[in-house]
Amino acid sequence: MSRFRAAQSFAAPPDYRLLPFRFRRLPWDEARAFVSSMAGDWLLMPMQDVQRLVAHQLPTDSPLFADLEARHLVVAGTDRSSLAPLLSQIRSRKSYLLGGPALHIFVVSLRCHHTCSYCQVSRQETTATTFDMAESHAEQAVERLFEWPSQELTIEFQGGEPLLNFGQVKAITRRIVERNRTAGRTLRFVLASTLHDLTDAQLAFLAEHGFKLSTSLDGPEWLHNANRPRPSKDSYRRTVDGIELGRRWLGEDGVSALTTLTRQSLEVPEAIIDEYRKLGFHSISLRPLSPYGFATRTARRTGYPTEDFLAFYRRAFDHLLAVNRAGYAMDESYASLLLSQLFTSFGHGYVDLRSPSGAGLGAVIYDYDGRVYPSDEARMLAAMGDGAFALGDVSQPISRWLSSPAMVRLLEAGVAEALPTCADCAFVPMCGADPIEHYARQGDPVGHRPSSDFCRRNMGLFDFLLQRYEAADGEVQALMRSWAVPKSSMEEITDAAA
Amino acid sequence: MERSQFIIDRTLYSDDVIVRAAHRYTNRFGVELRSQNENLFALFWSLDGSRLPDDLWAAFSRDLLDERLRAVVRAETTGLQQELLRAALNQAIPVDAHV
Repeated sequence: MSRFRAAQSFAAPPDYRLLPFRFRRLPWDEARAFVSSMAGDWLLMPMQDVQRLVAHQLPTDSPLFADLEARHLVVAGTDRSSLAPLLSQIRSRKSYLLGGPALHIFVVSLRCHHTCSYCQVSRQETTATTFDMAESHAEQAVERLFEWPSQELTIEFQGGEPLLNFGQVKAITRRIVERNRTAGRTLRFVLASTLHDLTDAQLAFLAEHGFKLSTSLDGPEWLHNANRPRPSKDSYRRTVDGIELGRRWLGEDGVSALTTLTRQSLEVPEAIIDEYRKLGFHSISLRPLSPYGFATRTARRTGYPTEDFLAFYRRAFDHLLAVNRAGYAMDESYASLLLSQLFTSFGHGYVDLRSPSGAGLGAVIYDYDGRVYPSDEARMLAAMGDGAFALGDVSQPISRWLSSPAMVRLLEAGVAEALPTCADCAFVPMCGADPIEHYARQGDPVGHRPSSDFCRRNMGLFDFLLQRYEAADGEVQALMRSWAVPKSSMEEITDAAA
Repeated sequence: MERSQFIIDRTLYSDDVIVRAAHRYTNRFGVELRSQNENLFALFWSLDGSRLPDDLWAAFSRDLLDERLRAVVRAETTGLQQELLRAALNQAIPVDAHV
């Protein structure tokens, strides 16, 4: 007599139960679909099989059924299956919910020496010191910072140009470090700056406190100078000098850069990537223009439709692959973020792609005048005269901000899984709601998703990456998977601040 | 302005399914839905004066079928989805409801 029971004893029952899932026909092959679980596990399968699955006609002993069960799209008998791994995956993907806001942006001044046509922050003249953060506001902001529960706090100084009020950067940093002697949080400091006029004395302070620098570099000299004009017409040279100086003090990975893409930029993806390579960067962030600040006033001159951005992105991606194949490792940070959402179940630091909304739940902005916002975009809207998303001011406890009308507005429109159209989108487990962008572009935080630039951009990029991955050879697939691996803290910070 | 009208059998597709399918076209076309007994009339018109695509009915029919599939999944899993989310994220619910 055999010591083992017969194979059929282990067979699944013939019927099964559907678990929540979503599907999307592939734009490049409409006979197949991208099918995702509520935790974001997914597979590509023929639509015929989707129909059979829904009609309970799939044999439970088939390889496809085993695959679907492993990805938590279906379950055959709760007595032989556990949903614990699915719950664990959901928890991992939404882990950013548990700690509260980790990114805290201090806007120490609105002053800036640039006159960028697409500026998102409504900058002020370099002499306008009334737009500097006052001492009393800085003190109260630091007190509020430590009221949040997050064990890890990323403190980013921003402007305008924060170097123009470096005294306040130093004062706030010292106050936070002192306060942290008893609080015991893990601190990370970032300075977002043009890096112009950066001095050794400033860098000595930044190095002492482990700062990272985040700057803007739009591409080759002609493009950067055109996008970011200064009267002296030497914006590019000053930024590159600042990058070199910063690296000498803070190390090669102590300085990261972001591009902002104008209409001119879309014509030269290769030149932009080659510039980053020339300067020794191993990551590039290709950011489309945002609908805020001065960018709205110059949209006709500098703006472009999302389709043009996607066409640019496809060219840029091909060039990046060529650069990597030639032996120089470089990723694109947004592709890395989306690939990490496709190939891992980890949460991430990028506020815009969170659901519930990362605004207010993932980031807080302390403006120069003591006003507090749930995101940089909300601050920009306020600078344009629309305070719909102002949480309050630094004199108030955070419980007051969390019960503010702005926060209610955010949360009502901030769960992507509950929004019209998004609720049925197969990419929603990996995507976000971004109510403030929808409010800015469409006048409604819920927004009209079929015509949303946010949706068109993100769905376009997910489709593109999936299609490229499926068609790629083993070498490119391995490269794309390597981009999906969670990055160092610096890149996460750059993502979060982007 | 070019218009197309499609007649949809409401015994085959629920109003909810038809509305969800039609909503997907509202970025490109004007859309109007009108019910009449067992049928529902879906009217599409061009917003910019261009021709409506020749395959509009084929695409809309396919979307109706897809929405009907989604409705079946939703009907079978809605309660479960809420239970799973609650079980997965109960740690994220604030202890103090006022904070």
